[in-house]
Amino acid sequence: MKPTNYLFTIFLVFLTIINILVSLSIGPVHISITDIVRNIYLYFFGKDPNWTVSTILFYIRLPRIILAVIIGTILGVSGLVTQTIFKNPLGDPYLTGVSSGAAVGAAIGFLTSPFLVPVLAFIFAMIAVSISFIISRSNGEVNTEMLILAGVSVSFLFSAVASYIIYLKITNLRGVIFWLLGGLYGATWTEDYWLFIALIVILPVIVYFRKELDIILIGDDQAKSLGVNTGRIKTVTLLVSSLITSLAVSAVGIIGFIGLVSPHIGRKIVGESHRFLIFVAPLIGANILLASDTIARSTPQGEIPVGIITSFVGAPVLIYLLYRRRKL
Amino acid sequence: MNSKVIVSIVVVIVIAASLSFAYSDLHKQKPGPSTITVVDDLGRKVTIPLPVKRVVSMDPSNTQMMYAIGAGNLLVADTSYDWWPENATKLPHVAMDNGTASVEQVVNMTPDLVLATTIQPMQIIDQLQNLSIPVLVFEPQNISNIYSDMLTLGNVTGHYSTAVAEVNHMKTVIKGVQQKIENYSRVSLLYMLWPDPIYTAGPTSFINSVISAAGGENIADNLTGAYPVISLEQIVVDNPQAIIVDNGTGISNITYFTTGNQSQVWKNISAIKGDRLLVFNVTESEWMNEPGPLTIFAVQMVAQFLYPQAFE
Repeated sequence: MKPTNYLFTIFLVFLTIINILVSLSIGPVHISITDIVRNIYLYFFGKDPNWTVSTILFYIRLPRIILAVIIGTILGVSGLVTQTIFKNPLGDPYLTGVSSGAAVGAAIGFLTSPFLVPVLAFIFAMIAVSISFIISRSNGEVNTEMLILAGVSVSFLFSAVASYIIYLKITNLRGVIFWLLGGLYGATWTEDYWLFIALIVILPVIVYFRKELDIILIGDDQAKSLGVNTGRIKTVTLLVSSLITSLAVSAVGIIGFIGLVSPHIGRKIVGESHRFLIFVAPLIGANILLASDTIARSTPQGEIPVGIITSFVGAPVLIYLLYRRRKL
Repeated sequence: MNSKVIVSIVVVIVIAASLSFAYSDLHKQKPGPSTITVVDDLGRKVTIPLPVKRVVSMDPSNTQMMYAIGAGNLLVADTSYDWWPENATKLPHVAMDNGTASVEQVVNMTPDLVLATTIQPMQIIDQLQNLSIPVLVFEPQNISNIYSDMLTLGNVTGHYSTAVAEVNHMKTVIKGVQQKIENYSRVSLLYMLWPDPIYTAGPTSFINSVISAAGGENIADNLTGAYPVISLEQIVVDNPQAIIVDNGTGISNITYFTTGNQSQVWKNISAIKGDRLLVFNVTESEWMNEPGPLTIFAVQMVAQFLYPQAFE
């Protein structure tokens, strides 16, 4: 129980705030810091703010920044749950079929009406997840070994369907490709609001089970001897994290790597215990996604899909941490 | 040695011999004395044996240019998404709109010339060239490129004078439009290819050349590439006076902007405030996106939308 872990968690909270402020001042349109401060003042104290600047700040940038923080949090925490439950360092929140299910829904959406994309993506993500869970159910609990294989199989099946639709049926490929690589370009306050509600409902469930997750990490036999019903906890946390991941994917598309890399970075700094990790992994996810999205939306060539940036930023960080561990 | 072995050796020899005959037959049609060498839009030098009697088109633009110069009757096959003129829809289809084309089907048409575009993978073009079928790749980047491509086609197919007449006709129409609008101040325009994220027509796109021919000031012409994503921030700053929405975006009218998710941003954009929105139907979108003889309709349509006073 190192005091540095407390400090680091608090540091991450501050880092997130600074990250938000810095991101607010960066974008495809240059707005000087003084303009930002003046317009924030004018906006909140009833004077007449500059329409261009305040629209960009409060209706375009800020909702998008908040969305990045929420999605990063979701991916960070569900990545952590997946890695712990499967005891697999390669676990990522899409493992149970979320992303390929969502891709099928999105493809059907692009084929019919682009405005149905989020709804259909969510529905099909949940269908894929449900199939994986039903296949791997035994005695009312999920068998994680079965689930990982079921998830992979279901993912391949749904990917095939999505690819078929995209390749043969969709002529306007731009929207689909951008969606598949993920992007936060559609951010609005409404979207932020609903995802935030979902997050504050679901996150406490996972945080509540943090001690049980530690016990699962030690092993099922020890857990049983401590009187912990691992099957039930595994089922509940995995279902809940799949649900929240499906919501994230339906809002912003398939953003890779955040869910995989955030728990690893967290573990290297605060250790394996979920006591801190349950807060640190999502905060790291939020910061990586926010920084990546700021880059993605500010490049001079016009916006590029954020999934490209998350891998670009995340992979070297992970490689560095793995390299350091190897030397120890 | 038993007879089975002898029989199989004979069979192998016969098959090999007939294959080599067939192969040399394929290569026998080497360009004779009457050939023509032209350069296509990729800068490839292509030698075509004359006369050209059978042409396969793998893109609607190519099909339309062929008909416009009076060489439509030479076409033996085209694409599944050809729509103009009506005769083009009745030909066998060998290319699909996702860029796939059946080399087998193309070869089966025994064409003297294949007209491709950059949507087809280079491997398909190479395969056809290796089979001694000349392929011209046309990808007009702007309106004058259409003229040169039509003249090349006229040259190759023996319809040069009709090609010249068609080019002159197009030039006259576009000049007429430009004379009508020249006294009005330029209108800034956002061209939306896709709403989320907003894909637009960049400076190197064909659409951009139509917009500028029609007197529009494309707000995306300082971006790079043909189809960049434009940020909502940039649109707020540029505050376009008019917006054109391509077909197939799911947007059907102004309510997308006035009541949709981003209405807070859109409702103060000049084009939306002034209700200066044009949503293309399928045909209009094809005029705009397929470089060819129908491009003049695209120029007229955009100019009339931007400068309605000039056409009263």
